[in-house]
Amino acid sequence: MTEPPFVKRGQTITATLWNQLCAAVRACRIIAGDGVRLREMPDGTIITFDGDGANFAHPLQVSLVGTQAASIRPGTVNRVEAKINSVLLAGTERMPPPLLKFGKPMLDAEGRGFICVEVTCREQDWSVEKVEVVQVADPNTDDGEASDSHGGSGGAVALPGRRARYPLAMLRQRKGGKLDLYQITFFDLQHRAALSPDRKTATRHFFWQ
Amino acid sequence: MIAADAWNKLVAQVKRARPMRGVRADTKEHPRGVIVSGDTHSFWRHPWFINARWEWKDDGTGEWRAFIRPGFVNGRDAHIPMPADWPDGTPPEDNAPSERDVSLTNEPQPYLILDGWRNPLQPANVSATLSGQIIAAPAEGYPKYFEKLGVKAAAKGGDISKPGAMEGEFDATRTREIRAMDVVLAKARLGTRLQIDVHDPLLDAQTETISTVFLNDALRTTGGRAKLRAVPKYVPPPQQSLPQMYGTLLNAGDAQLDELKLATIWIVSPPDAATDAKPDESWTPYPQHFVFWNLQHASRLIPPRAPSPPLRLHTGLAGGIGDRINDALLSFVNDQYAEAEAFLNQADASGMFWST
Repeated sequence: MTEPPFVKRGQTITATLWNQLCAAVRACRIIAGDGVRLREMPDGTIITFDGDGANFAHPLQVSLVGTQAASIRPGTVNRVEAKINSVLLAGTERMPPPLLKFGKPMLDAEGRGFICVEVTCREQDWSVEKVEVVQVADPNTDDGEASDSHGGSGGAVALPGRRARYPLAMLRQRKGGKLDLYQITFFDLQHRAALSPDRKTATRHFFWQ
Repeated sequence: MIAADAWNKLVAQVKRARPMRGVRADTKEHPRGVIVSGDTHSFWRHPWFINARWEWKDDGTGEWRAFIRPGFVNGRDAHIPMPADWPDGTPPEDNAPSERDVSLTNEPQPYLILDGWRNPLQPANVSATLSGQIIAAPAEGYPKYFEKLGVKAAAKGGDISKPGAMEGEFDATRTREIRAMDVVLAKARLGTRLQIDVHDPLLDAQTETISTVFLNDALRTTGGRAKLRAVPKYVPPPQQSLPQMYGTLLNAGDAQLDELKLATIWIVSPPDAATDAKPDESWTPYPQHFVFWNLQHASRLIPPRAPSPPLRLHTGLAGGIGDRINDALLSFVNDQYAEAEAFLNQADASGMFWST
């Protein structure tokens, strides 16, 4: 932009000067770019930025691969490493990091599904024996199908076979089939089962960071 | 004729209006204007992050709205109650509720309307002493950060006849007003209420039994969903736990929900705002977050087993009359045992939140 000059008293405002001023005004007009919203007001223009924010790489981070699979960063529950189909999330010397291939995702009536860690506890002391990553419609049902359950007393529901699930991320299917992902867990997890008096069953499971 | 002064003022204004790149922004100059872009990787947005902004409505008025980044409680997305005809204005069916819960992960995303701001510069209340003095409580105040922005001083309270009691000390460099609202998360849970049944001590060896009734009305109506709301000032729900054993007799039922304050939204005016000014599009919001991660919530108890049967001593003495006397004598022991059992079985179902 060529800035119009200041003038002295008595100096003529020529057509050239006027056109320079018009060009400067035009060049200062604000145009919305990426992530910007503008609202023109009599006293000025309000500029608002809508950024998504920086990435935060963390354990158990879920990333969608298309709409039928997901990759998960390595993470642990009670320091037991999570696996997909018995393959470590970090992969092995012979096998690359696995993908969770769920195909058509299990969803509830509102298009919600979950990618969870499923913890299986040892019979003797209820410590964590294995951790598998699964995709379900409801973490608190035995078969993973959707239910009307509202969670009751809180914590994770004790599933048959000394199991419990905890969600890593929620899937939400939109009209048109697009799948959005919302990360729920950002850290390695700790787990403990709340046992019934006979210590043979759990009343519920607790997870924390 | 365009005077030189007028021309120079115009040129000065044009220079001032020229957009320049600042923090986390980018500009690109063109003959037809300047393209202004935001830096989309400025910082990571955590769950429950609040974006408060002024939104214009179709009728030309506007309002402050809080858009909240999706957060989860027990793995389930939280909800905000919205009008039944939101977002497209389609009126609800007859007899349908006037509100419906909309998930934070829905499209379009729901929002909280920020209305009814509290004023932290003025005393919260005024009271009178027995001697006839009128005393103002100290104003709530605000974080120290806002002093540097030029926000007025808060009232110190005290005798209202003395300066500084009802309004903060005057400072010509601090002329901005400030208001605040709280964003609260509520999670429904099982509630409890004590039920007292009266018995005949001669027949039942007990004058009263105390049982805990579990309530799930709030869980059923909300479907266990966590809900968000904006309030002028958050007041925690009344607590029912009482230290005295006999205090459990007074438990008439709890609120059936637990609450957590997620954030306080402060909003600052331009300079020289009036003391009774209301926040409009020229004010600037500053959310102060207290929760940064998704949450878990659990009640401290799950419905326990049935209460123990009362003690009885039946010896057949005096043709059975002695048994009735024994039962009457034992009734006091059984009453106290029932109260202790109700207390120790923790008839208080209040829960707690923790982050994951």
